[in-house]
Amino acid sequence: MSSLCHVQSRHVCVVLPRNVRVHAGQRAHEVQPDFHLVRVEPEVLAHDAGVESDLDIPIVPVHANANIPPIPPARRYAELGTYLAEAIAAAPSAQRMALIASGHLATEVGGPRQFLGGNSPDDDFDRDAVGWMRDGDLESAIAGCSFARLAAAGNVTAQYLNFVTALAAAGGRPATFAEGTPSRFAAGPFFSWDMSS
Amino acid sequence: MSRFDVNKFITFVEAADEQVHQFSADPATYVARWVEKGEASRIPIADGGPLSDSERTALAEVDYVELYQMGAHPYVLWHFAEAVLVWAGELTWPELSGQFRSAVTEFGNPDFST
Repeated sequence: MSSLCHVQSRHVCVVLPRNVRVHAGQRAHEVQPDFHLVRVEPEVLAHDAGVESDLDIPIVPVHANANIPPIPPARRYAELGTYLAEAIAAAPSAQRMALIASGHLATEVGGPRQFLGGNSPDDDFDRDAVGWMRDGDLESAIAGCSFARLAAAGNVTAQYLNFVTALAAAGGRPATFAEGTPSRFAAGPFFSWDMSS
Repeated sequence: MSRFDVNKFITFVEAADEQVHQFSADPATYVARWVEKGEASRIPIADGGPLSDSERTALAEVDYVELYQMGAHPYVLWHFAEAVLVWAGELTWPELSGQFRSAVTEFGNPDFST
């Protein structure tokens, strides 16, 4: 399977929401239903992801649609994370790999609540969402991320599902760091897992 | 109304500066060419597709209020409006931000599933 070849050739896996812009030269490979593995030049990723433009490490962006319905159920995102973890573990290379996910907590863009100020359009969702990562509570994260609940928290809150992928890829272990950092319009999600231990 | 095709159109335009420039130079012609290219292809293509008459009009006029009511996805619709109105110099970002929110608030959150 061609997508596995990329992973096995010591690429970094990156899970990104669909709105990250990728244009030229990429080929999409289905890794599982609903998801594709897309290979692009690092500078394309750098444009929107804030990565250094002189990045010289291989990158494999994984575009998971977390914006526009139909959005797969949360469990599918968890299954994607498990798949990525298995692919990385099976890689013959001894080089270190990082899996990076980009997404949101409760966020509204283009709707009645956009850019209203305040910390979040849905503080309750944010509290739960940070807690699922902090506690390593994958099943509660899946249960709490129905499409209706995500939509109620803001029209692009579904991007949080990329963190469900990350949590599953980490084996459901509690995050080493989990925080929703206050910001102007929506809290900024910061989660990390130390997989060395 | 095909929300998918409208979302595809506005995403294609807003995601590349060159497309924003081409669209802004002559929106009606750009929309017409999109439809013609879609009709000329026997398979789905990235830069063309079907649009209803009302969709063509709303897109050519950058009528984001109408598109919002139609069920265009708010996220990509906002970025489309931002790209073709703010970056083209018609409005400042604070102006569009305020006008957009005020205009769509009465319509709540329409069904934007595809």
